[in-house]
Amino acid sequence: MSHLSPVRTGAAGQGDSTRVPLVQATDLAKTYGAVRALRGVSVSIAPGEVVGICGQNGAGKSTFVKLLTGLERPDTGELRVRGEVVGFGSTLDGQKAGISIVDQELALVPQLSIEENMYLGHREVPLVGGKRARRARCQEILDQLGLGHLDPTTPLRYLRIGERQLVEIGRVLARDAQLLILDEPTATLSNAEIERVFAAVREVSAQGRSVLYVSHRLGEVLDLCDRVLVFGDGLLRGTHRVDQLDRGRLVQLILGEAGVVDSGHGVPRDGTATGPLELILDGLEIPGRLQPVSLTVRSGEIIGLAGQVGSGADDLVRALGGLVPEARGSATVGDASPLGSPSRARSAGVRFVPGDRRGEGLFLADTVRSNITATSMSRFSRLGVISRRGQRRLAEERTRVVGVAASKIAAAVGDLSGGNQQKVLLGRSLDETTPRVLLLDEPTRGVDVAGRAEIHRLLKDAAAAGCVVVFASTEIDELFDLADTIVTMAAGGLVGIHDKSSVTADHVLAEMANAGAQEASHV
Amino acid sequence: MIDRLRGVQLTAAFPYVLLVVFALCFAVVPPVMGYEVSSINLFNVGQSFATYAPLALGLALLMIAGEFDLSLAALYGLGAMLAVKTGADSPLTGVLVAVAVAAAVGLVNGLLVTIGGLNSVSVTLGSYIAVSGLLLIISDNASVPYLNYEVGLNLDSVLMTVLSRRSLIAIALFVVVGAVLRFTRWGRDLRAIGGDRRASRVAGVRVRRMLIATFVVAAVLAAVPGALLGYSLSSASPAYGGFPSLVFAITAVLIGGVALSGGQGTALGAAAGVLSLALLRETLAVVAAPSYASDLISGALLTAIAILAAPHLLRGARARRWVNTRPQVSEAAA
Amino acid sequence: MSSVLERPPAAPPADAPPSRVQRVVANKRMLVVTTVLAVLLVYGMVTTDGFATVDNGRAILAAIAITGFGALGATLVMLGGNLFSMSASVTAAGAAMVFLAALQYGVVVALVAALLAGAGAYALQGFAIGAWGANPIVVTIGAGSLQAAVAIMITDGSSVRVAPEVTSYKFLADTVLGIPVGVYLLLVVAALLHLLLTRTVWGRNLYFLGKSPPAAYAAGLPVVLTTVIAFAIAGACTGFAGVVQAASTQSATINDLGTLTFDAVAAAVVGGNAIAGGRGSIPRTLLGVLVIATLGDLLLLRDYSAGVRLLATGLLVIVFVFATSSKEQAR
Repeated sequence: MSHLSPVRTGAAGQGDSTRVPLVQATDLAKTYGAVRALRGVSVSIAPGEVVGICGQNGAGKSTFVKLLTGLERPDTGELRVRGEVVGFGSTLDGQKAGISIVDQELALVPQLSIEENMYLGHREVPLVGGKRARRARCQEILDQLGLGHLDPTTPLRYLRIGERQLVEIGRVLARDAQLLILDEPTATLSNAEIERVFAAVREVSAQGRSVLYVSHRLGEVLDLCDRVLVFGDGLLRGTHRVDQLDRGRLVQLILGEAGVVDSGHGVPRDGTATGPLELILDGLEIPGRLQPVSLTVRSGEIIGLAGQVGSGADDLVRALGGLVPEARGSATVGDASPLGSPSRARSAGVRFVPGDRRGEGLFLADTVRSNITATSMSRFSRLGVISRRGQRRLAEERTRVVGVAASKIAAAVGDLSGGNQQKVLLGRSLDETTPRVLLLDEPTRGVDVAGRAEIHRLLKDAAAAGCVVVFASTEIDELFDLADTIVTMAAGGLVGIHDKSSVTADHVLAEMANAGAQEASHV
Repeated sequence: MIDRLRGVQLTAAFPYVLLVVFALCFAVVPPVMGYEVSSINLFNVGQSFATYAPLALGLALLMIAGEFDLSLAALYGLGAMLAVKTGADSPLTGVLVAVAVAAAVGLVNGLLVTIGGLNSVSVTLGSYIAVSGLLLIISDNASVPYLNYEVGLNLDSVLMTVLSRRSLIAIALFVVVGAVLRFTRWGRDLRAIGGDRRASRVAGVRVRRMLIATFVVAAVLAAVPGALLGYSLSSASPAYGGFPSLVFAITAVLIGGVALSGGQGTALGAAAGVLSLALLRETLAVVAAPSYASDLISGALLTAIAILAAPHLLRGARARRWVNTRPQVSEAAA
Repeated sequence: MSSVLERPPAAPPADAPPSRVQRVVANKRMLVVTTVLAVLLVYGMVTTDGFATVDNGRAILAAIAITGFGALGATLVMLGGNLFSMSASVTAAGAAMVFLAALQYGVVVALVAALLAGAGAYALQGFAIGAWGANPIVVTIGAGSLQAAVAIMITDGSSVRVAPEVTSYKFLADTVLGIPVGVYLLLVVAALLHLLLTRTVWGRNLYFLGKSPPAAYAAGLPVVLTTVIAFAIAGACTGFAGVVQAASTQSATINDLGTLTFDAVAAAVVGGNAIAGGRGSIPRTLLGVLVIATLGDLLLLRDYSAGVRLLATGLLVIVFVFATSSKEQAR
């Protein structure tokens, strides 16, 4: 098939069974600005192989996958498919080379039917006709995935979230791709549904096609894969055959040298969890995404919601911030309910720091001064007229509290580092009276180590002043650094509630990866 | 599954239910009020259809793709003017010139929206003003007669008691475009682009190409009925078409079940919408209703639809505008 | 939780205040508009007889009052991220009719009534748009049709006139130092609006809302109230345009001011206000009004037709939409 001779030296898979690796990546590197997302990774995947990819967030998994599918171009390094060097410009090129991906964020169009979605962007769909054949094939795939009861002409928007996920997986099956990349494919699925996915993956592998399986759920990786690639800090930390691994060993590999987190290493604080009850959740739920959650939190307590994509941890935080109008059940802060709208949450004393700082948090083109005072203009205005001096004074005070240099007060907030941006958001939230509840989604995403420590200190100070802090995080280190109580979540429901001192990182990681206990969320 | 589908069928049936209602009004109201309805009134409805339907169809295509084009209003008038000016000897040449110019304008709009990543309402506001200027320049700010009366008579002569060549052309355009929309990959891709642009691009749909083509087709679909109307009236004035036609088209398309948010709509629905409005107008004309009645009803309809389609009207409905769902990376903001 | 298919996290920029280059770029729109105006003026002076005269200067200024008020209204709608109102012409004409009809009760009452009519009509649309998220273009088109129909229904299609013996309003059509009173009024209203936008909580909130609706909403800012107030003031400004028109023509029908909608938006856009909202100012709008008036005057003096003026305006609008757009919520 190739006019180029296969690489003869060094590469893995030189054994007699796999003459030419299906995909061979050599020394791939990718830098985004100052972030070295991938620092030279070489991987070779043989036909029929099922390869798992594990690693913490920011380890470089996503970047690696993007390079493979053609969504991004590598800065350096070389990618060969069946021995031929490829340079992808788009996902369509990736498709031509036989690589298809199921992204964790679904790429489905609700208005189209199941069949249309399954064949959307499929490069072999003719302009006219062929619909009957496609429907038949679609029905076969649906049967294979356990969705045989669905008609291919059903509009996608009438499917539950788990069913949609399966349709997306069906799309790569329909494409007859040689390499299927599944990125967190089971986050929203029930056990029965996951079994279907596994069966489909095994069948694909039996046909000699390869699968790349990216997952936080270690059990699934160990069950399904032949090999596991462990990423860390933009490097491939190691390749391991699963038959030489167990769960504990894999957790250690993923956590790296800081493997076993010292569960006591956060700064100890006085008076945790002894204050009065401040935040009470009673059956708070979001139909279709979050099963009823009941929880009581004391003044001064820091709660870490540990959960991966689709776990519902971020949904819970957003609901408490008033950003999920469809939330049901009750949540009370003192006497008030924060549910319904952000302004209601505000008047209940709740402050929300969004995870998407640039999209939902900051007014990027505005100055630090303007951003940090955006929600408390009443403090320096009379009859609606702003006192600029008052604004400046308040901004100076707040930047000092959160530790943003005074010289940056007139700078556009979009030009600041992630850490400083997050501090500005925190400064905005920590207004006159300390908020009663401070909510954060991924408090230190995209923040460097130093900034991270400062932000953690600020949050602990807020808690020491009596504020309830609830944050959602996917990072084990952060959960153990910051939280008093760790609440693990998976598949849209609560798994466990642990005092930090009485739980290990392994255990938390295992519970975060637990799809087992509950059924998947249903619409 | 049946339960899940019931909602769809109700929404999908709305344009046709409305059409039946308007048809009943047309059949019942005038006789009750002592006026007579004859086949000539149906012919008039067909003529209205011929005048507005292709424009509405083009707009529907754009709205299905999640875009909009204000300049269609001016292109409609420009089509008439170009056809009348250049088609004196051969009416076909006139139409072709109108089509060519419109396609060029559509191409520019499409390129600006896709490559420039600009909001289509904003871009086409500029092109609407520019094309209006062009129309004034070409016409020298005066109405231009078309002396080849034969053409107009021929286009408008009654066929099969209620049709004319002009309305047949409009119907043919609907059949062709409707078939493309319904039965081809292009139709599916268009709905996909309007439904979720990011998902479409990730799945491998050639988003830019589709969008540019849609702007061109919509522009042509605006110019053709304009040109034919010019022949039909045997003159073109710089005031032709213009905004009222576009308002008619928007109303028709929206009551025809094309979603403001994109991704949804059919040619048949749009046709039903145009017919509904045409019937309404004819009914009002037959009963000699005052001139404002039509504006009153269609304005109320349009406002009502805009409000009913608003994402926040029902609590718990997904808040599209305020609540950040995900960063949009689309090359053309809808 | 970042997805594979999202943009990579933007590199954390260095912790430095924006460089001088960045500042210049940030102000480039203002620069572009001023340059366009300067080029127009110089070109006019050098090539066109009768351009650089006091009388011509007055003529240019005289033309700006009505469009100017409309453009102020358009700016407010635009700043809040609501594109533009397609019912400006009708609202202005309606306000003109109210003004003329109410003159019998005195000019102050008439003025207040006209402005309230404009404000009320806009505020209702602003509520549908702000509270429910209705599409601004469609709502304002529909509301425009409704207003026109109601106006014709009430007046029976005839024009509203003022009794010849009423003269209390005539000062509005006077000139002082050769410049119409309307222009002075425009400047006063513009100055007031500028203060409102830059010095009040409402003004700051409007900018926030236009810059990033999701961020404004998540921060718990009063998005609905801010939008409704913006529309109400925009409606009053648009009504003012009608009043100025009515004072000079002394009669009004709903079809007067037919081009105001697009003239107003064009002026606001050419002034360098971002059509997507959040960026812009009243001085920019005035500059835009001036550019368009100067362009029109220049073309008129050089014997170009109205069509050429429209064509040039349209092209300018496209250029400015291009120049002021940014894919991200950035400068």
